[in-house]
Amino acid sequence: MTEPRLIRVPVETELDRLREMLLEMAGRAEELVGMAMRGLGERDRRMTKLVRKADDRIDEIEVEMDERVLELLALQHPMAGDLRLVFVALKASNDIERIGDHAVNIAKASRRLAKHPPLPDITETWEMGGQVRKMLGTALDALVNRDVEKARGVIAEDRRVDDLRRSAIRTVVSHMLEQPRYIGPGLEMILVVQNLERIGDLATNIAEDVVFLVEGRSIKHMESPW
Amino acid sequence: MSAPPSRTDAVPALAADDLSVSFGPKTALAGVTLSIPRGRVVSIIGPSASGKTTLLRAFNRLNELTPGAVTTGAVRFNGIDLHGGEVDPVEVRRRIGMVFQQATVFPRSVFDNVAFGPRASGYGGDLHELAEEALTAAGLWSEVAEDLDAPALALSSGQQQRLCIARTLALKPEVLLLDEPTSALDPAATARIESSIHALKRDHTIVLATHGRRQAARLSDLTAYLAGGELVEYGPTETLFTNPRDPRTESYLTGRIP
Repeated sequence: MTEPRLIRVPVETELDRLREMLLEMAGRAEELVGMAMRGLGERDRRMTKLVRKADDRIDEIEVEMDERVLELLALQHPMAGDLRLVFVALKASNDIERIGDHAVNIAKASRRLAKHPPLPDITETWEMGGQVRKMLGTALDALVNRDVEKARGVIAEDRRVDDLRRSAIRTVVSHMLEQPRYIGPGLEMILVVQNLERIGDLATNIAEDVVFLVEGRSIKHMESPW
Repeated sequence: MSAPPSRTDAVPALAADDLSVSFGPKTALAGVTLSIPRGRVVSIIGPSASGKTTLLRAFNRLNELTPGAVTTGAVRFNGIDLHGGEVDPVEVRRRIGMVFQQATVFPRSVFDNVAFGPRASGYGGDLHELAEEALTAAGLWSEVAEDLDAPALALSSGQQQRLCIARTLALKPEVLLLDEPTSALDPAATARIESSIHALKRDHTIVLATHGRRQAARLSDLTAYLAGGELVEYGPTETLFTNPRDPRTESYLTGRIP
């Protein structure tokens, strides 16, 4: 597999296309999360529309991915490593599509938040937003480059996201307890935090799939994945 | 033979131990060691001239019929060395039956084809009963039952191949060696043979040499990958096809020409 070969088999072109589609999807999803977070920070209600529109494109690519994978399985009968790549591409595209949906949820919650009196700044949310975007980018990078070390890094980072979520929720709840007017926006903020945490989980799923792709074994639902 | 073979049987049905076969200056098999568990379907895959047929032929001592063939190492059947002094090669080939790539029916009736082996070995039972049993097991009975006296050569090529399987089964073998049994057949005929193989698995150990990677994946419990006369990898079919250990197996399965 390391030496250059004279003959390129048709399945390679198809697999390259799957990788390109995944990269495009992931790039858009990352951007989408960024937009949703900006809308949250700037209390910009128009952002919801933009986020939704961008999410439609991710949905389109996901449908195209389903069709291509089905076609590839029917016509090329991939085996061994090729088969694992197709399997992982299909799952990752599904995960990225869900990430898009979570970004839309964040944008919607932000729009509702903008109608409420502003909450004191919950700093954890910004760190979570940055963290999950980075995880998503790294997971996809690991997928395309078959980089298990990078993938394991993403899995480890998810703990930080979980910690931030707990801390953010504690802060929000304490504001809600102190000031009843914070109850409405506090509930919305908890939704934002939960959606961010799910995005982190989905990026972790992709990273776990990279380990399966390269090593051929599943590390899901393990206490210590290495 | 009437009881289904035990899956936990410790002695494998067939075993090759450091088996090498050469024909004159050409080495066809080089130090192959593997065991075929009883009651399983084992596929041998690999490119042309990788030694698949030679390995299959070593299992029922057919290679020695080729002038200049030299075999070293051991082949064991139910733990017994096949090249041992008291072993009768004719009895070996009865208990380890073989079906070849090209269907080779005799220019006789369907019935005579199936009855040929049992007659030659002095079978004392009811030949019609035996023929029906063998033809049923080969998945051909319903298509030929009406006219067992029809000439075998009038059958389609897929039916002729199933007739060859029935002819082998009529000798009540324990092991079936199938050498590319469907390579000359269309998909429908291939599907019928494959479904027969599925059914035969209950009472037989089956070794299948095939070019068809997908056929091996569909049919077998274990798969061995041979290249250049060497056994590269051998293991459960699902592992070999989803996560082969050896990069040479990976290249072969994914069609990457090195």
